[in-house]
Parts: sequence; C-alpha cells; structure tokens
Amino acid sequence: MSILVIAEHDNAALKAATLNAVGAAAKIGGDIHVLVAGQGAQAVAEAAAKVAGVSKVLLADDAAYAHPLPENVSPLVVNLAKGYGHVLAAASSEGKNLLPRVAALLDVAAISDITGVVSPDTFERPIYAGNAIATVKSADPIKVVTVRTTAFEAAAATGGSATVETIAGTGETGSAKFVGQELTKSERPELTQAKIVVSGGRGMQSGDNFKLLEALADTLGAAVGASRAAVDAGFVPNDYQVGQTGKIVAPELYIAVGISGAIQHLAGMKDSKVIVAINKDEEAPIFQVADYGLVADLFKAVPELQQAL
Amino acid sequence: MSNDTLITGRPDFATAVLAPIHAIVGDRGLITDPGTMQPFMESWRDGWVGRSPAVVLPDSTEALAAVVRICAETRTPIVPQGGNTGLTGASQPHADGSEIVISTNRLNRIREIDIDNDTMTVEAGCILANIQNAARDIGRLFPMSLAAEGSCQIGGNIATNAGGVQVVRYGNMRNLVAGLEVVLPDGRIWDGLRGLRKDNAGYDMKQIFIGSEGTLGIVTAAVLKLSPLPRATATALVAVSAPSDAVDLLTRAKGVAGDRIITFELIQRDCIDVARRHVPDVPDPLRDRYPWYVLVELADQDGGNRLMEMLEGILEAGMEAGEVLDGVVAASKAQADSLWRIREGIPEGQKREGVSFKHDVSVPISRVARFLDRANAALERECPGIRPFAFGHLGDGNIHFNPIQAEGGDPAEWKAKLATVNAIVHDIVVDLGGSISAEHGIGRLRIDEMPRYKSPVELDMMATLKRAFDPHNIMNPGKILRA
Amino acid sequence: MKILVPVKRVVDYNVKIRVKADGSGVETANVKMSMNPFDEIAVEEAVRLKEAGKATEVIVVTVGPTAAQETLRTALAMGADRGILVQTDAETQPLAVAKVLKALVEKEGPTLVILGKQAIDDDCNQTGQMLAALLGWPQGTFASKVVPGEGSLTVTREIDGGLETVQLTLPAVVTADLRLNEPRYASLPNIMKAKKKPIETLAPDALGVDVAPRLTTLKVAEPAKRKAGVKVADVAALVDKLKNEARAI
Ligand SMILES: Cc1cc2nc3c(=O)[nH]c(=O)nc-3n(C[C@H](O)[C@H](O)[C@H](O)COP(=O)(O)OP(=O)(O)OC[C@H]3O[C@@H](n4cnc5c(N)ncnc54)[C@H](O)[C@@H]3O)c2cc1C
Ligand SMILES: Cc1cc2nc3c(=O)[nH]c(=O)nc-3n(C[C@H](O)[C@H](O)[C@H](O)COP(=O)(O)OP(=O)(O)OC[C@H]3O[C@@H](n4cnc5c(N)ncnc54)[C@H](O)[C@@H]3O)c2cc1C
Ligand SMILES: Cc1cc2nc3c(=O)[nH]c(=O)nc-3n(C[C@H](O)[C@H](O)[C@H](O)COP(=O)(O)OP(=O)(O)OC[C@H]3O[C@@H](n4cnc5c(N)ncnc54)[C@H](O)[C@@H]3O)c2cc1C
Repeated sequence: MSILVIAEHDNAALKAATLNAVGAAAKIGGDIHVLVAGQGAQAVAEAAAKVAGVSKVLLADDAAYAHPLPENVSPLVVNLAKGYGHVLAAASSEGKNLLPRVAALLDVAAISDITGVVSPDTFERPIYAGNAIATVKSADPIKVVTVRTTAFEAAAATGGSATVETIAGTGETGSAKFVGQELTKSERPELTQAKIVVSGGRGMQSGDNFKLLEALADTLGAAVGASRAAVDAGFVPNDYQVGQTGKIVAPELYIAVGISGAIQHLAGMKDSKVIVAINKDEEAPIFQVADYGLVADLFKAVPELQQAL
Repeated sequence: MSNDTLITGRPDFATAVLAPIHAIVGDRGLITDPGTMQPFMESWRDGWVGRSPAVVLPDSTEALAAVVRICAETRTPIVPQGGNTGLTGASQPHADGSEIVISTNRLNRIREIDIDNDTMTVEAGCILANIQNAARDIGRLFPMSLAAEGSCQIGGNIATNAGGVQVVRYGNMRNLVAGLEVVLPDGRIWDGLRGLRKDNAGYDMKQIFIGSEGTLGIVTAAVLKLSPLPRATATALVAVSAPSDAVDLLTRAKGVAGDRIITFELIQRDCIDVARRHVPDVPDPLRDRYPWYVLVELADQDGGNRLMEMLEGILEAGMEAGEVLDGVVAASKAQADSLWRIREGIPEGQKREGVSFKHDVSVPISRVARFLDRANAALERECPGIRPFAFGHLGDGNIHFNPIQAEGGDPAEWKAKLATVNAIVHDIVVDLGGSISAEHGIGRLRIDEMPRYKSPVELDMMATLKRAFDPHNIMNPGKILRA
Repeated sequence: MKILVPVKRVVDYNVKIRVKADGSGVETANVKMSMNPFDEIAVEEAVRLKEAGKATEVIVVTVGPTAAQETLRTALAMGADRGILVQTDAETQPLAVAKVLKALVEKEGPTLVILGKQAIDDDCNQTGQMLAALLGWPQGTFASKVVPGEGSLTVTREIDGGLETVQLTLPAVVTADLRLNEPRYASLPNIMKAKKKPIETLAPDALGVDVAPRLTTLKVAEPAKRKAGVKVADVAALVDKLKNEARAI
C-alpha cells in the first residue's frame, strides 16, 4: 500500500518538517505520495517532487486552501485517504490540528507523535511527557499518523523526480475563516520562552562581562539568564534569575557559563533538552547534569564559541 | 599563600599551619585565593562578611581529624562550615582573619542505608535535599524540610538543631538523629554512629553536639532516622481574621487529624505581598485580601480521597465556627506546590525588601496571639510607622517576627533602632515564657543578649561544657558564648 | 449558550511516574490523580464566559471510572453547574471519547465545547479535533484567547513560531492551550456548594457508543536514559557535538 504524506508549506516553500515526515514514510516502506493543498502553490509542488523517495505529488490548488484550515483540508484528505494504507504528517501544530480530524472522519484511530516505526502497523510514541515510551499497534485499515520530526532523518530535498498531478479541491465549508497570523520576531526572546538560554554565574565576575554572554546570545537568538549569585552580586537584574526562586526554563539548549550547578539553580533548568556547561572546575556539580561539559576558562571559551558559530 | 599576614601573632602560619594541612588535603582540599574563598566568607543574608587565610575541604573524617589536630597543636581557631545558610553569623569567620574555615563540602557520601532499621548513615556535607531524595528513592521520608534545603548540609542542620516546616509532626533535628561521628577540638574521633533508638549506656553524648553550632566539635557523619513516606497529602491556604483564630483552627484540626498535620504555618498578609513583589510565580489564590492566612498540610499512608475529605471537613467546620473566613484547597500537586511557593518566597522576598528587624522566637502555642498583639503594640509606641511582619511555624509556636522599617524612612536611622527593637520584642517573649531563638541558634547575632535572658546558672553550665570540650577555645570561638 | 467541558482524570502532573516492571503500562495504583491541567484551563475559560454573562450553563463531563467523580467535583467547585460521569473502566482512547461526547452534545445541545488540547497521560492531542469532525463543527485548537461574537467565536491559536487567529461559526469546539488563562483554585465556600451540585451517571451503552479501544498497547518502556554527559576537549568539539549530535543549533 502507498503512503500519503501531507506537505506543510506557506504556499511559497516546502517546510523542512515535511522532509522528516517523508523520512518516516520511507521507514514504513511503500510508494510515497505527497499532497500539497494550497493556493498558488505550484512551486511547493515542484519542490516536493524533487524530494528523494517521493513518487507522486498531488497538487490541490484552490482558494479554500490558502491557509491550512482543517475544516477545509480534511474533506480533501479523507477523499484521497481511502486509496492509501497510511496518511502521515509532521507532528507540528498544523499536523496535529489536521490529522485527528481526518482520522475521525475515516472512523480510525490517530497515532500521534511517533518516534519509531516497528512495523507498518506498529509504532513507538512517547507518553507521559516522554517519561515512558509506548509501542502501539493499530488494527485499522488506514493508519493516520503524526511524526515527531526530530526522531526521523529528513529525506534529501533533491534527487527525486516525482510527477505532479493536479487534483480538484473539495471546496470551502465556510465554518472557519482565517483572520490573521503573527509570527514571533526573533529579537532577543523572553527568558521563559526562548529556545536557547545562555546563563552566567558568579564566575562572570562583573556585570560588564555579561556583554560576552549577550553577544553569544545574539548570535544564537538566545535569551540571557543568570544564577542567583550573579543576581545577588548585582551583575544583572533580578528578573534574569533562573532557579527555584527565579524563573523555570526548559529550552532546547541551555548553556551554563561560570555556574557551579547548585540544586536551586538546577531546579530551574534541569528539564532543558540539551545542557552545556562551561566551567573551569572539573568537579563542579553542573557537569553531572550537562550533556556536554567544557572545562575551560570562560573568558577564553565564550568568545571562541561565538566566533565558531 | 600570601594571606598569612592576616593571622594575628603567627608569622609562621604558612610553614607551621598551612603547609602541613596542605600535605594532608592536597590542592583540591585547600583554597587560599580570595576570589574563590569569597562564597565561604559571606552570609546568605544580613551581611556578615569575614576574612580568612584559608578554606580547608577535607574529603574524609580521618583527613578532617588530622587537620583539626594541626589546628589544636598550633592553637589555630577553626570555623566549621556546612552549607553556609545559617542566619546567625555562626558559620562565617570573624573579620580579623584569625580563623581558618573547615568546610564539609567534600564529605558528601551516603555511607549506608538500612531499610529494616529505617536509618541512613550520611556524611556531614550531604546536602539536605539530596538526603530527602535518597530516602524517597527507597520509599522513605527524611522529614527535615526547610526553604534552604537545596544548600544546607546535614552537619549544619545538626549543629543548629534545625527546625523547619514539619516540626509539628516530626520534631526538630534532635528527634531525627540516632547516632553521630564527631571530631573533637583536640582532633580525636568519636565514633557514635549507632543506629539505635534505645541506648541508655551512660550519658547521651550526641545530644551535646546537636545545636552546639560548631563550638564543641565538628560533626563528620550521622545516622538519621527515616519515616514512612506519606502516600497522600492535602494542602490548603485559608484566611483568618486574627492569629487567635488560627490557634483555634489548629486545636480543632489536631482533634480531628491528630498527627496527620505535618505543617501549620501562619502568614501575615503583608508577607504574601512581599513574596509576590520579589519572587516570580507566587500566587495570590484567594479573591479577597485578608489580614492573616494559614498554610496547612495533612499527610498519611492511606491513598485515595479520604484525607482531602478530612481536611475539607475541618475547614468547613472552622468556617461555620467563624474561625475561617475563606480558603482554597489544592486540587492537584501542582496547586499544592504553588501554595508552598508563597511560604518559600517570604524569606526571599524579605531579603530584597529593605531594613527589617528579624526575630526567631517561640512561645507556647496558646500565647502566640498574645505575643503578636503585645509586641506590635509596643513597637508602634516606640517606633511609630514600623510595619508589622510575621510568619512562621504556628504548629510549634515558632514565629518569625520581622517588622520592617517605616515606608520611606531613612534606612540608617532605622538600623540604629536595632537594639531597642530587639529588647522590646525579646522582653515580651521571655515574659511569656518563650525563647529568643527558636530554631536558628545564637551564633554572633544573639550572643550579647544571652546574659539578659539566661540565668547565671544556665550560662555557667554552658561555659563549663565549652571548657571541658574545648579548653583552648579554638572551635568556633566567639559564637554562642564569649570566652 | 450552554458550554460543555469534558475533563479527564490523570496522574497528577507533578508526580514522577513509574513504568511497571512487566511493561504493561504505568503505575497508577496509590498514585495521586488530578484533573488534566489543560482541562482545568478549559473549565476556567468556560466559567469565565459564564461569569461574563456570555454563557448560561457550564456542564462538565468525564468518561472514566467511578473515581473520576472527584475530578467532576473539582470542576464543580471551580464554578461549573453540573456534572456527567460516563462510567467505564475500559481504557479510553480519543476516538471513543469523541463519540461519547458527540452523543452527549446531541443530548445536551451546547453551543460550545471547550476541552484541554491534550491529556498529559497519553499525550494524544486528538479528542477535540475528532469531536469537531464527528459533529461537523469548526475547531479552534491550541487556543490562547477566545472572544465570543454574534454567532461566532474569534480564537487566537498558538502555532509553531507564533499566533494565528481564526473566526469560527458557532457551534464550535475549542481546545485550550497553556496561556489561555490561569485557572483558579477551588475556594472553600465553592467546594461546599459543589457537594450539592448534581452529577448524573451514564453508561456508554446507554449512549449507543462502543468504547472498545482501536489501538493495542503492546508494551510500555522507560525512555532511553539521558546519555551520561561527556566532557569535550575544546570549543571546536563542542560546536561539532551541538551541530551534528544534539542538533541543537
Ligand atoms: C533559599 C535559596 C534559594 C535559592 N534560589 C536560587 C535560584 O533560584 N537560582 C540560583 O541560581 N541559585 C539559587 N540559590 C543559590 C544557590 O544555592 C547557589 O548559591 C547559586 O546558584 C550559586 O551561583 P553560581 O553557580 O553562579 O556561583 P558559585 O557557586 O560561586 O559558582 C561559580 C562557578 O563559576 C566557576 N568559575 C569561576 N571563574 C570561572 C572562569 N573564569 N571560567 C569558568 N568558570 C569559572 C567556578 O568554578 C564555579 O563553579 C538559592 C539559595 C537559597 C538558600
Ligand atoms: C516490673 C518492672 C518493669 C519495668 N519495665 C521497664 C520498662 O519497660 N522500661 C524501662 O525503661 N524501665 C523499666 N523498669 C525499670 C524502672 O521502672 C525505670 O527505670 C523507672 O524509670 C525508674 O523509676 P524510679 O522512680 O523507680 O527510679 P529509681 O529506681 O528510684 O531510680 C532510678 C535511677 O534514677 C535516679 N533518680 C531517681 N529519681 C531521681 C531524681 N528525681 N533526680 C535524679 N535522679 C533520680 C536514681 O538515683 C537511680 O539512679 C521496670 C522496672 C520494674 C520493676
Ligand atoms: C531561606 C532560608 C530559610 C531557612 N529556614 C530555616 C528553617 O525553617 N528552620 C531552621 O531551623 N533554619 C532555617 N534556616 C537557617 C539554616 O538553613 C539552618 O540553620 C541550617 O540548618 C544551616 O545549615 P548549613 O549547612 O547551611 O550550616 P552553616 O550555615 O554552614 O552552619 C551553621 C552552624 O553550624 C556549624 N556547622 C556547620 N556544619 C557543621 C559540622 N559539620 N559540625 C559542626 N558544626 C557545624 C557552623 O559552624 C555554624 O555554627 C534558613 C535559612 C535560609 C537561608
């Protein structure tokens, strides 16, 4: 049976998440078709046709698909799905919005956020916020699946030569209207929302030296935080403090510079996905939680790091 | 090693003291660089700053004892230090730079866990939170709990006979210690690591060291008593109009819940405001403002919803009796943790709020309300404009009575009133049969008030004890007692 | 307008879960259970709409075991008017729950259903979308703001990289995201009042719904342990690891 992957795009370009979904489809095995539902999305369809492993691209170009409203897109997918064994999309806000709706209309279960393919009908997915991994098997004729993009290698964006087939849309339901969109600008983000946080501690020695971290943060699009000791010493204001009595952060990447790793500090950042510690004391407790530790003088390492990025 | 000039009257400090210590503890165990020593010199709060030529960090009892022997021979005074979170200036050296600091930071192993005996043998430098977690991992509770638990060490808890937020149920540190290992001021090691609940073979020596604030010896390890881990907890924040109503509610709660009450904290409204001003994510869960609040938590071994129903029953009855004005009950652990954030945010908030006059006092629970009324009235007479500020462990009669200077007043002027304020408050405390230090100890903070509030007999017993253990006065001198 | 708020009883958010040794699931015996946090937000939003005079009645419903009544009581103490327990001891999967809810919608006639965007136990993030599909209603998922208008609802949604605003024709389904509001604590007087509010118990059969699971869980395992951290030799090695191993930059 073939697999239908729902493309994610902005009518101009194919989003990278789709490549990971195609990667997951390749693991399942079978002919891979990509659906591009959009308005004026010819370029997206052409890009999708070049993705390695894709054999056919279906383009539904219609004003109803100018924005990915699930009310309009789901009937289209449901019509197509009947000819496929799997319908896949990235587990992005868009994919999560759409696919459960599709599944219910097909009267099949949806399988969210898979991180592994065991067999074409059996998948691994995290539950309890990733504190357990469930292996689930679907008995439904069509498997409707969203894919955790970070768990699958992206398919190569080039190398494929699929055909592009234009298909008709299913029209507008009219029950939902797109009003507007506001994408976050990437100036220095707010501490608790930043994807990357660079924090400094007593080892920074002065408020002036925090400029080093700010420069690094700007290179990375990161927010700047601090330990309590750095706040108490007056290097930075109160609202920089990360920890038990400060802010709790859980970014994708947390870089602790000149911070020893006291329990109260860890309480505010230990759920970060990747932790980097730069400290000159190889026995500093921060190294016990760090994924990557660099034993070095921060005044040398931080500028070097910024250069290297 | 250029700091030896700090040592008064010891020109050979580097060769006679530091070099032999270095030979024992090595590079990792000795800090003399002022920058790196700084965190060991300063107090968490209240601005105690000391100086010292060296911080020594032995990593075994034997090494620590050897260091103390050198100090004893050379009459070098010692400040024992744990997590350095103490609030009485007991864990920092004096400003004259005559003392070395011996830190237990590297004595941080859990030596043994005995599940059947419900005990755990730990080294003095283990951080309290790590001990709590190790107990939880084996399905037990180590019930000592206080806001500094992520930094304070069990040795410091023992040396201060720490209290905290669960004393009403589990007692203070003294109740949680089964045995001790101590290095005496002459460098001998006393191995009293007995995990016994009954041991009447002579004097109970461990009790002498518990609460002695490092003046009689250095605790290097302890056997701790563990309790069953509660399966259920129920937490509420309730509003009352006066402390006397809070006391009535406590008595009512004891009648129904008995020792399921693990926390019963009294909180003045202003404390919540200060916590919210300075600490992120402190909630204000009640719709209206009330003058006083109680944070109450019950715990027991039954799972299920029974405990919650019990708590709601107590509070509803309290409401009908007029003791309780309003309240919220945590519907989830997240909400309970959030309510705790109020309590835990108070010391933090107050630290950032400005000049305040701290008192860690206890009176019999039945007299807490009277104490607050009398003390606030007397202060308002003597220091008009002073802002009442009180919270604390009502369940064991311990109030942190920390009034704040008048709004907009000149901090210097207010600082000058410290002795007056202390005398007013402490006179009332003692008149009501209370103590001028409920849980933090005497250290340097209260040392000069001791003669006013302790009888000559009591002071003489203490001095005799001190001389017996530490004839040369090298163990944390100038703390608790003047030489 | 009536608002229906489905809520789920789950292992408390702040409890560290344990995977059962036999791999059959997660330990739930003797574990603190609470309302799914996203559902608390949904209840709060519904109660606020009622307090603002935009809604007439808030009905909370849960599909689950008898003990899930506690969760309904919590919602009632927050200000919901009455509760419905659809009693089943079976594992509840989103499609089945959506079908039960559809039956209840047909029975109760709400104009709006607000529910949490996902349950923190199975992390499915499906029920709201499925219910909207079955009803043929529009959906405002991952809502961070909900503004009722004349016969419509303007919903601000949290999407990857920012916010999106959609206008939905009522009736509609909304799923609540974290920033929609901060749920209140149940106050004592309201807890007392909630004890007197009605809870109706129904069986899935009575609603004509088959709740049998469609997915079989073959096993539940601990996640791969966080790899022990490594020390890197220099900045170049660090950058290499971050780029190629962790893919964090
Ligand atoms: C009740 C309470 C609440 C608290 N809440 C918080 C909180 O919310 N957040 C918080 O952070 N802390 C909190 N603390 C304080 C906490 O216990 C620690 O004291 C604090 O986190 C230490 O900060 P630090 O790591 O910057 O300083 P230190 O512990 O002094 O560590 C400085 C580190 O910098 C390294 N260093 C120095 N110079 C250099 C250099 N040139 N190059 C590389 N490395 C260098 C050193 O090796 C050392 O490891 C709290 C404490 C208490 C008692
Ligand atoms: C049948 C029986 C059962 C027992 N069961 C137990 C038991 O289960 N647990 C247990 O612990 N003991 C038990 N005992 C021992 C005894 O009863 C206890 O030790 C009890 O506490 C002694 O109290 P007493 O008043 O008889 O003291 P005494 O026998 O008069 O004195 C005991 C010691 O205390 C001193 N002493 C007495 N009064 C004072 C005072 N006011 N000030 C200073 N020192 C004083 C005495 O000098 C002596 O050293 C038992 C004894 C008997 C006969
Ligand atoms: C935010 C905050 C909240 C607090 N809340 C409470 C509370 O609720 N209840 C309470 O009781 N206290 C409280 N405290 C005070 C303090 O945390 C306790 O006194 C704690 O027990 C001190 O432990 P420490 O390891 O930090 O000791 P330190 O501050 O290092 O030392 C305290 C004293 O013990 C001596 N000492 C330390 N280690 C040893 C040792 N191994 N052998 C011999 N002597 C030693 C020191 O010389 C000093 O005299 C609080 C402090 C803070 C900062």
